[in-house]
Amino acid sequence: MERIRALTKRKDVDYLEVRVEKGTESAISLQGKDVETVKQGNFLGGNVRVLVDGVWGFVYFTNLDELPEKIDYAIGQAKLMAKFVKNKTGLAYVPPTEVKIKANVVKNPFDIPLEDKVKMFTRYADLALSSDKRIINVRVQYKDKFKTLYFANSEGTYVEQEILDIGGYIVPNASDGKITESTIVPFGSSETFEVAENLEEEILEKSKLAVSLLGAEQPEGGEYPVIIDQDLGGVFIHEAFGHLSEADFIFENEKLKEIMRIGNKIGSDILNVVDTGNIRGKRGALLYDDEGVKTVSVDLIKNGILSGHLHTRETAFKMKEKPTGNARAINFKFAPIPRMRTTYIKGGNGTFDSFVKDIKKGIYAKGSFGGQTNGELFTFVSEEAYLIENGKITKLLRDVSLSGNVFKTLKNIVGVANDFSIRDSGGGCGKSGQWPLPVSHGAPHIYISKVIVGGKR
Amino acid sequence: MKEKFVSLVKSRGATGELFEIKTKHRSVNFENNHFKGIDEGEISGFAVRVKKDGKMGFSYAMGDARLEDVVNSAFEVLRFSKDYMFEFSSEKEIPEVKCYDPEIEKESREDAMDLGEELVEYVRSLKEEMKVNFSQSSDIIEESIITTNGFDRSFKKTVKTISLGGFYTEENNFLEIYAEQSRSLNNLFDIETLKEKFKTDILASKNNVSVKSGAYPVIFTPFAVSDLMLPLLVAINGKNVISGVSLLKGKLTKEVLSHNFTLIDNPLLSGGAFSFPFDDEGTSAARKELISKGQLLNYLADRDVSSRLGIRGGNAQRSITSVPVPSSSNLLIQPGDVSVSDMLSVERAILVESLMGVSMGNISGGFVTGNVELGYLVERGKILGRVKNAMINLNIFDKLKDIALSKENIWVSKFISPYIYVPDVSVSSK
Repeated sequence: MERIRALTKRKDVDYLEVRVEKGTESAISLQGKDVETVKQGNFLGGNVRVLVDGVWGFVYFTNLDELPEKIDYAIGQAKLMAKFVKNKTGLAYVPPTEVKIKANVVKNPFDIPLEDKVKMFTRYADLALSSDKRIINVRVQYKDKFKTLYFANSEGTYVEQEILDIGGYIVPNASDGKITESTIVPFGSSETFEVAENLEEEILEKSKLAVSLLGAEQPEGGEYPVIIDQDLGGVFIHEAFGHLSEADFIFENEKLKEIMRIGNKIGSDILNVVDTGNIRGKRGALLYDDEGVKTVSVDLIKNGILSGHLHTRETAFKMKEKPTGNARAINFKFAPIPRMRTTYIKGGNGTFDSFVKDIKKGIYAKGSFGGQTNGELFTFVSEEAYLIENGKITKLLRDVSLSGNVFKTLKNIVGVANDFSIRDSGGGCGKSGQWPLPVSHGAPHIYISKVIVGGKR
Repeated sequence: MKEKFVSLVKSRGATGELFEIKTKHRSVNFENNHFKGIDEGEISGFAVRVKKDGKMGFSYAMGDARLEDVVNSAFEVLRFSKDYMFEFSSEKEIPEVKCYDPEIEKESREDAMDLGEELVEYVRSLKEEMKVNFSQSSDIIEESIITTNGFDRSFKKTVKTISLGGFYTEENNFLEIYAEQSRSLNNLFDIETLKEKFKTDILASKNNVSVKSGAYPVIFTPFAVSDLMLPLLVAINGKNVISGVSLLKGKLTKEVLSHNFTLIDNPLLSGGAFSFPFDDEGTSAARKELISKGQLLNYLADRDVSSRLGIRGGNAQRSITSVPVPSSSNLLIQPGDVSVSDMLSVERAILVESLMGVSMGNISGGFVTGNVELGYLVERGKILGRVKNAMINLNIFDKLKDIALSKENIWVSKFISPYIYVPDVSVSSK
């Protein structure tokens, strides 16, 4: 790695960085009782990114012997393009740093024999399948990845960082021949295999739920007061506000800059939102980002007031703000862009029971199958949902999708409960072709006065 | 590498497959109306599958790796596998497919930049406040497969993608228009269609209209068809048929959709971005009629599914890091006999260009549930305005029983499709 450091010391560029990624991964997947795949793989690749006269050059490769040529190529590329670029760019200052970070491992998945892992996941699959005849299939996915990231830049920063990522899910599928319904037991961690263990009880519960959903009705479509649980609350804030806070969305758009100006009233007074790399063990945990910047916690919303953005060094430079350590790339094939880490809504003073009591006719939505946004509109899909009638939870509903306008919905949050939690999933966040990036999100129970619910008419 | 692989595997009394890919990538990118830069890269890697006594092992490597290590690693995990009945490819007859174009490989960066300039300017001439993103990417892919059963073939392929996005913002009113085209031959791009879409969308979304919850006819444009077809692609995947998740299990030869609906998977399509002479496990490519006039004729299958269901394979797809699975190539929905203008002349309908969130819904249950990301209210041939804050919800196996298809069709990327009119769809709004 000394070689990489030496190669970054170039005088003919404004900035140069080399990122090398070396790692190993294994994965297990089951379809029903059958072990579909057990795989092992290794990867090694790198990239060079240079800034010459305010213009970027970017090249990636898997043959590391070619690194010196690739550096020259990237510089040549940027120089050649300089005459075409009108919008020159730069980087916000960060002090050079040298650091080596070992992964914080509690129970290392690579220490556990594949036999034991396969046995455990097979047991999970059997458990779901034998719980009810109507469980026709179960999908199990498990993946662990251990990589070392080597980062060096022309400013003298050198960061060597080990990253462990564990994720997966167990999905029981129920069917009565006409309808199929699925539920999900997700797990994920950046430090311990323990999250994949002892899931038996939950698998049984979720299998039972999948069967119950077969007999549930779809809600009547329309606008309702809605309570969302911690998982959905996390997905909601990730989708509805997290992506908007990513500064590459904002920095060259004057109208968005106005809408997303720090100090703007953006949500109800009880809303507090944070993005951080500092929650240990979560998949979104990150000490240094992919530009070698030490991560800081960012208050995105404080008492309803917009308080921060998520930056790369470039977006921070353009918006005259401080870098936050949100520059992330899913692998060496991509340049880093602003991405979330662990994003959450802080706990409040409300209680779930009092929210339910307050609702005449509404919906309680739990568990998440994911969400999507275009900045203004968002959609997310719950795993299970219940009708609330006259302050009581009454019947189970299936296939509930929730949707709304981001800005209106943030202001329509009328209750934040005191039961905050974060549960990692095995999935990840997608943006600009980079998917699935490990991130985490969480929330307490959230009570929103108006949300559009898709359903039958 | 070839001889070494064959001897390594055979010496252990097994059969095997070596899958190698080299990709050269370049993309020219414009963001927020300006040229941003060029990304370039090269990747090579290989994956190994070995099979012994019906058990299968898989391993891969990207970057620096020794073949022996990867083969050993595949043998190491073999013992966990379920039983497989199929054999690795030994096919001799491989069709010719036009999916490589030296023009794409040679194309200069300046040409891509000129097109970027032109399209950015075009969109801004329609709506000046629009922030425009443009990207032209080209990939030159060299794929080769060697099996111990005598298969030893490779092919070179080009994939070029032009994507254009426009973004307009004002408080509580974001407008995003996106269109892309992917082809493997350079002369098949149709820039006018991209422009036309932007023109229509910008004009149609000048004002917003609200709709009440209720049942509406919905017209899916060819750009929204990929959303509408998601549940069908899950159900028609042979892997899901075997696992029992597919609602089309046991329905071969049955009428499952509207009598005028025909869906063909065609990897032999000249110039298709998803075309190939043989699939990712060396099975020769073939056109497959999946649904013909509403009747289910076939499933998508790789060699595993093929051996279990007794149907033709040829639909295996994978990356370096993953095992092959059945997947669609170029998909053709046959046009119908109604003109788009006649379709739009109905009393009242919602015209959908794109939906949000469909993939997260209960797609294996047949549901298309999503927020209307871009769509319009149409009355008697007139577009009244953009529909927002509305969710549509339909089950394709109930609601695609009596549809109308337009005469006109558009080749988007994966799909070549007409406009699809669905008479009765639940729409939820405020």
